Amino acid sequence: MKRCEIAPGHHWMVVSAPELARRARPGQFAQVRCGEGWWPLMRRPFSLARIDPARGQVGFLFRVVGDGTRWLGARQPGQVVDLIGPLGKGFPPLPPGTVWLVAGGVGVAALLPLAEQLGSRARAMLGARTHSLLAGRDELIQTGAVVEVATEDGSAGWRGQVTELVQARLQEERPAALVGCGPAGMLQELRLVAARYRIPCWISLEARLGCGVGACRGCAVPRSDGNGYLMVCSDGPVFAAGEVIPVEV
Amino acid sequence: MRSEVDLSVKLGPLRLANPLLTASGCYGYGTEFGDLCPPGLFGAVVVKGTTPEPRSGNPPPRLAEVAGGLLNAIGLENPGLDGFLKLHLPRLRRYQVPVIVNIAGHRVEDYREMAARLDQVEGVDALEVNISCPNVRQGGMAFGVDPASTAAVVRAVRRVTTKPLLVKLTPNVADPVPIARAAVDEGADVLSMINTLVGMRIDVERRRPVLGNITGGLSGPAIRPVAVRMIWQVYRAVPAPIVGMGGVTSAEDALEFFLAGASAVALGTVLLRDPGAPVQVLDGIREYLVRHRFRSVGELVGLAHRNAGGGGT
Ligand SMILES: Cc1cc2nc3c(=O)[nH]c(=O)nc-3n(C[C@H](O)[C@H](O)[C@H](O)COP(=O)(O)OP(=O)(O)OC[C@H]3O[C@@H](n4cnc5c(N)ncnc54)[C@H](O)[C@@H]3O)c2cc1C
Ligand SMILES: Cc1cc2nc3c(=O)[nH]c(=O)nc-3n(C[C@H](O)[C@H](O)[C@H](O)COP(=O)(O)O)c2cc1C
Repeated sequence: MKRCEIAPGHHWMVVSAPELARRARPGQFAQVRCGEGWWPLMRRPFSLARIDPARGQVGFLFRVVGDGTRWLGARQPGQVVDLIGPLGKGFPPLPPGTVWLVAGGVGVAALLPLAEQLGSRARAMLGARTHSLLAGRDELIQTGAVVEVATEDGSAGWRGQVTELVQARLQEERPAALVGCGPAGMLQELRLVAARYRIPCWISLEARLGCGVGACRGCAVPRSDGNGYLMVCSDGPVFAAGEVIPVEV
Repeated sequence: MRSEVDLSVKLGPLRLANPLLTASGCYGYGTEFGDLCPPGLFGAVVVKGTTPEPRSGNPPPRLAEVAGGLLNAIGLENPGLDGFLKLHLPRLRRYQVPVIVNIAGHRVEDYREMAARLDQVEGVDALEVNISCPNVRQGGMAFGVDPASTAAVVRAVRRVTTKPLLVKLTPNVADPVPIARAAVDEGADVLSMINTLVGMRIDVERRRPVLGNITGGLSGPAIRPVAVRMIWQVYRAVPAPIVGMGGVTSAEDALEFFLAGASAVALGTVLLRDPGAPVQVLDGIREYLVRHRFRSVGELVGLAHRNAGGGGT
């Protein structure tokens, strides 16, 4: 594997995994062992941020938030990473026309392979607290997508939330679909916007995962119809926005 | 080399190809892991706890980690007995591995009703009675913390089924022996032990419990010494075969359980992290048997009791 820090506390890691690269689809994830002993006990899920079957590689974009990601962020080139994947359901076939990809922070990871797949159909909006945390912007631009950014402090692009940027642009044109990945609060906002404008919307969710395959029923998210729960790992991580209520991790 | 040792074990009325089972709730209905961990690796598959009616489970978060352990509060999410029989059992049967159905309820009638129905079902090789569930008639106290309510459940189930009966003991008791004895007196063929230990965590930044359900069950390596101790106690006192579980992650752990008195072991939490664990555990057990010139796992069961000296029980 190779790794570099692309923004403060944000790492881009490329792993040679030919079989995984061949089978993976945009929106899927891998469960990565993030420690040598019994801490952390569980694997950590990360979106496949690059799927490159030609080179036999997959890429991850992750932010250090705790012990597991800190350990992963200290791996050195050539070291082996223990991962299981591809897991989860990827993005469903999207309606024809322009698709807006809306990312909050490191949520951009899940959207990169989709941007690549959609090519000129994709338009991306990426939000972060400040410009130095806009990780993944260059990678997004490389996919050929039109990219706009929003920062809460106004240090780059639109000043404010990325969902506000989305609403502003919706005054000018309407996409065929919205796809979002980021913090629960942002996704909640995006769902409401999509419902208000009647635009089909899909969101990729996070949760504390157990097994990653649907066996342990640990990563529940509430269904919006009040009928129990769906599992992020096996029913998702991508859901139709009307199906689930995003909850903070 | 391989033909020299026999990994098959006798577990009361059951004969298993190897001494590894799945711990209920950690392996779903057997098919979720796919090729990462196929059912055929195990001597028997114990499915997720099943209740008479479907249950949607507890609000999230349902999982929290602690050093060496996992707290879970899944809340017995399951499709109910009908759902299990229709959706899951047919798929699991194709693997031709013995299937043990873990049953859970809140009233003695729940257990009786499920056992009576499962008694008729082909492809169900045994029942595991989870008595760690709260008894609604006794203020929500778990059936398994009291010999009398344990006896009531086991008696009710034993009357309506001839299938082999495993009774799964809770560690949340001062002394497991009277409970184990009550279960065996009422007709349990095998004892499974241990279920999870009740625990909780508090998020200090948010100043509130981590789990949606507030408390959860602790599993994983952290509880292993408790499991070994309880198996040790029960093996001495009660004449019934034991399936040991609680933090088994390696061959060495499994061997510890055999030597304490378990005839087989179940893998739970370790599967969530390392679905490849069963292969390694079996290889390690085989290697140990060869190295120490044992022919079967059965020869190891309870062996450490002989070398225990005069210490306490
Ligand atoms: C399907 C899926 C895909 C994911 N993809 C990515 C990805 O591509 N890149 C990435 O960086 N992360 C991703 N995540 C989140 C990532 O799994 C977690 O950040 C990671 O598990 C944290 O592990 P840790 O041991 O470092 O932190 P922990 O010790 O587990 O947590 C440390 C602290 O951070 C908080 N925390 C945990 N997770 C998050 C989170 N997601 N956001 C904010 N705070 C959190 C915890 O509440 C805790 O307070 C994904 C999650 C899922 C479910
Ligand atoms: C996520 C999870 C779900 C569980 N669900 C059940 C269950 O439905 N019924 C049951 O009897 N035990 C259940 N258990 C307990 C396990 O079967 C086992 O007794 C316990 O976890 C100890 O073994 P371990 O440390 O190897 O996991 C569950 C454990 C976990 C971690």
